[in-house]
Amino acid sequence: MGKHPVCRVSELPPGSRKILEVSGRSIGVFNVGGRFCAIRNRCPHQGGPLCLGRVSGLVLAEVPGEHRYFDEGFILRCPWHGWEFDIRTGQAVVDPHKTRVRAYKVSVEPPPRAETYPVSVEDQMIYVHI
Amino acid sequence: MVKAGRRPGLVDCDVHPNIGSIKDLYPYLPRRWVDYIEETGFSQIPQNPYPKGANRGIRLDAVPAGGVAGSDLGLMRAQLLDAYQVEFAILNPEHSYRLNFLPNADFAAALASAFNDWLIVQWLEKDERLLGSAVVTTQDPEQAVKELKRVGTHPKIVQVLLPAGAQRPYGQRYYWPIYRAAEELGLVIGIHFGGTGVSTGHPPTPVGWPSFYIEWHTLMTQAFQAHLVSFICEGVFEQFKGLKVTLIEGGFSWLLHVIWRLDKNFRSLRSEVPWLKRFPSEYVPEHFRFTTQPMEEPEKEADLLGVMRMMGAEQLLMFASDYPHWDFDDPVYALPRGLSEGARAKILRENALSWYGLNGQASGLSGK
Repeated sequence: MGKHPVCRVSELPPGSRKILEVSGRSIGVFNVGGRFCAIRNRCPHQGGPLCLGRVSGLVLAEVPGEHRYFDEGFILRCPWHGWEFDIRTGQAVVDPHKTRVRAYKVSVEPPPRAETYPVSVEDQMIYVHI
Repeated sequence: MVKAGRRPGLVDCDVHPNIGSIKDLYPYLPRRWVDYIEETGFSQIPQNPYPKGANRGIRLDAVPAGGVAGSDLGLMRAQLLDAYQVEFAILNPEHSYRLNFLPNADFAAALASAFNDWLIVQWLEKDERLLGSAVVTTQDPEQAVKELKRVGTHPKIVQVLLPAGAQRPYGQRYYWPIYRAAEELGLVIGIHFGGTGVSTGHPPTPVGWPSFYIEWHTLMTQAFQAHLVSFICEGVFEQFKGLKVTLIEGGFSWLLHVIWRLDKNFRSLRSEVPWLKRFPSEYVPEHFRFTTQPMEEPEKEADLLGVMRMMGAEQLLMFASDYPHWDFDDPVYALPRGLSEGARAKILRENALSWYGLNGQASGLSGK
């Protein structure tokens, strides 16, 4: 684990994704309606580049013939065989307890910076104010 | 002539009584349709499309003097019921399920009713060991439901008979009124070999018409596969949680291939069938049984036993003889010798007793 910079918030608007290499692992970071999620870019099925897949919603039904649509934007489908994963948890929709990919925590923080102090110049002399 | 052998009792899940001629149905047909038959010279229900290569499709020793195979209860008793000490035999009337391919829906429904009454009067009420399937015609599901409500409460009607050949896969909602009625009446849906490539139906394979009976007979399994997949994917068992389906004479070793493929596809294509709450294969043990005949007979018996173990055959299979057809299976010889006594007892008897809700003696029919 550890904290790794991804990009500025303005570079990852809602509906977009960024795939980056972190500690030798390819990871996809997604902005789903302002919520940031990160998931390993490797499908547990046959190793496909999961994060290149289409993002969609979850179709559920109580009874045959019903098509209810939930969680739009949070379901990632592998570009190879179409397996469905919840971006938030990494769990597969089918057989979620046995099939999952690693999901990661994403945080938004001010960019790192050093402490600064006011500086003034008087009579060719520089003063720092602490 | 009782055949010796260590047998734990026997339920035969597929036996074919036959009418001697269409005239045998006259007592059970409205006058209008008797007249229609006489006027038009209608003599036979649409036939399966290939001349049956072996012995005209029947066991030649099962033909009574001056009659047709399956038309004589006395001979059936001697050759099957008594010979093998059958506790129960489930009768699927010859020809009846091909009424589904008569273009005239009302005529077909009337003939189906006549078959059912003939079956009850001429067979079921004459021997306590005999149970029956009520045939329905699917050209008009409403009439099928009416017929089931009419005959389905008879204590010896345990099943609804449909042919493997169909106008559309059996899981589709078109058929659901029939399943609703069957579930309410406690009837199993029995899908029987035949009816592919008949009359108004489709060609018998997805690639058209094979040339020979041997091909048609072998490839009948495709129809059963299509129905099993359809039943599951359409969500029939989410809608009718108590519905049971027996696949009769359709083989069984293909089950592994089909459910492996279906389960794999489910991981990719689940969102098409979001009503499925389990892996497709998980619906099979609760909702399907397969009859054994024609028994699969690979060169090495161990191969068959391996397939049977993998598919859970001990739970899923029910013995059928298919008497009096040419591809009849003898219960003494048909099952692999390497099967355990326990598995043999389940397949020959216990699975069918529990599937059809029967007590283990002919006089003790339980409520369905």
